[in-house]
Amino acid sequence: MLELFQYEFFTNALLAAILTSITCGIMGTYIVAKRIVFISGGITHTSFGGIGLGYFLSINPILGAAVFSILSALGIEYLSKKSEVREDSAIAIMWSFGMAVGIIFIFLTPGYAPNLISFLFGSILTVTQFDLIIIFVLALLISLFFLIFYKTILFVAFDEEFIRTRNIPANLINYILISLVALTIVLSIKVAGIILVISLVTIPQATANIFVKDFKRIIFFSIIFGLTGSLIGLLLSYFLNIPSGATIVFIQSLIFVILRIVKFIQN
Amino acid sequence: MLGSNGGGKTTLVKAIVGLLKPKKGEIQYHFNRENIEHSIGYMPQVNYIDKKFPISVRDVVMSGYMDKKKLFKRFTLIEKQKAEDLLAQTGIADLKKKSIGNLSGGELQRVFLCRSIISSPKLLILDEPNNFVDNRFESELYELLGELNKTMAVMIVSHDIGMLSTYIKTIACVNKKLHYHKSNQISEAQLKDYNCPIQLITHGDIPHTVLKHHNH
Repeated sequence: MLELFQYEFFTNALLAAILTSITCGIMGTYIVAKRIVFISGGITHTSFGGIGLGYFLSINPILGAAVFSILSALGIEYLSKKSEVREDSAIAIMWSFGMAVGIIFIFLTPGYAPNLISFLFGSILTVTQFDLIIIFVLALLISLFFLIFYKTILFVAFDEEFIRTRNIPANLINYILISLVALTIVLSIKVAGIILVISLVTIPQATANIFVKDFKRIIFFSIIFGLTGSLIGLLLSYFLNIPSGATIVFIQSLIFVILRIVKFIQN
Repeated sequence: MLGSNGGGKTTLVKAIVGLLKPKKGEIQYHFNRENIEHSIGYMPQVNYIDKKFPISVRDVVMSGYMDKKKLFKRFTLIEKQKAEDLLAQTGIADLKKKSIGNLSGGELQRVFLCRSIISSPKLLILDEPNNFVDNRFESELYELLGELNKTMAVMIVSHDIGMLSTYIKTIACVNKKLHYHKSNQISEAQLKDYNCPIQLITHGDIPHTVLKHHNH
C-alpha cells in the first residue's frame, strides 16, 4: 500500500480529500444548522452552467463554475429576504436553468466533447497541483473567518432578528457565508461531482449530530467523519477499481447508518 | 401593551427595538443613544426559533452581550459568570450545557429572558411571554419581573388581558392607534372606547375592578 504514495496523483487525491473534509466539515455544519441544504443543492447545479460556459470560452471550467455559483448564491440570499418570492420555486428555476445552460454550451463547444462524467460524478484522482492550492486557500480563508467570527456566525444563524437589534451587520455576514458555501461546493466538485457533492456537506454532519448537539463540536466531528469516509473510500475505490467519488459517498453513508444503529442499540 | 392580534403591537415593538424604521414620525429614547443596543432588552416570541438548532443554553444567553464592539472581542470571565448567575437565578443552572432542543417551552422562555436581561438594559420588552409559559413559571416570571422593575422599565406585550397582574402599573391599548391608560385597572367599556376589542375574562384570582368612564 505504501507504494501508492509514490504516485503524485494519489498524494494529490489524498491532500484534496483532507482539505475538502475541512472546508465541507465547517461549511456543512452551517448549511445543516441553518437548514439551507436545498439552497446548497441549487447552487451546486447552477454552477454546471459555469462549467459549460468555461469550456465554450476555453477558460478554466472551475472558474466559470465559481462565478455562476457565487452569483446564484447571492441571488438566492437576496430573494430569500423578499417575502413576495416563492423561494423554493426560485431555487428550482436556477437549478434547472444552470444545468440547461451547461449542457447547451458543452454541446456547442467545438472539437472534443469534454468529460461530462467527471464533473457529474467527480474525479478526485485527476486533482492537479493548481486545484490543491485553490482548495488550500479556501480552507485557510474559511478556518480564519470562523475562528475570528465564530460567535457572530453562530448567533446570526440561530436568531438573526435578535442580533439585528444589536446593530450587527447580519446581512453582510449572510452574504459572506453563502459565498463561502458556493466556493466550498464548487471546489468539492472534483471530489464527488455535482450530483454527489451535497452529501459531503450533509452526511458527516448527520453522523456527528448522532453524538453531539453543539455547533462547534459538530464542526469538529464532521471533519473527523468526513476525513475517515473520504480516506477509506479513496483506498477502496483504488483497490476495487470503482469510481472514487461514488465510493466516498457510499462509505460516508455506511458510517452514518452503522453509527446510527449502534446509538439506537445503546439506548 | 394590550391589543388584539393584528392590531400592530409587534410592529410597534419592532420599531422600538430598531428592527423596523418608522415610515412617519420618530421614536425618542430617554436614555443615551450611544449604547442603544444594550439599553433595550428584547425578548421576542419564541415560536419562530428553530428548536433543533445546535446551540447550547449558555451560548444563547451569552448572545445577549453581542454588539458591534464584541465582533472582534472574546467574552470575558465576568460576562460568563454573569450568564451562569442568571441561569441559577431563573432556576435552570443545570441546563447550561444542554442543547436548546432538550428544553420545554417554559425552560426555553427562561433562557430567552436571561438573554434579554444579561446586558442590564434600561428597558425590557417581552413580546407575548404568556404564549409558552407554563403555569408554574408564570407566577415566578411576574415575581422576577417585579424584581427587575426596580432597576429597569418593563413592558409586556399581550393580547390576553389575563396578563394583567398586580405588578402592572399602566396599560397601553394598541389597535392601529395607541391609547395610554395611566392605571392598572381597565374596564370593558374603556377598552371599547379605545377601540381595543379584547374580551375581559378574569382568570382565577386576578382582581379586576370595573371603573366609571373617565376622559384622558
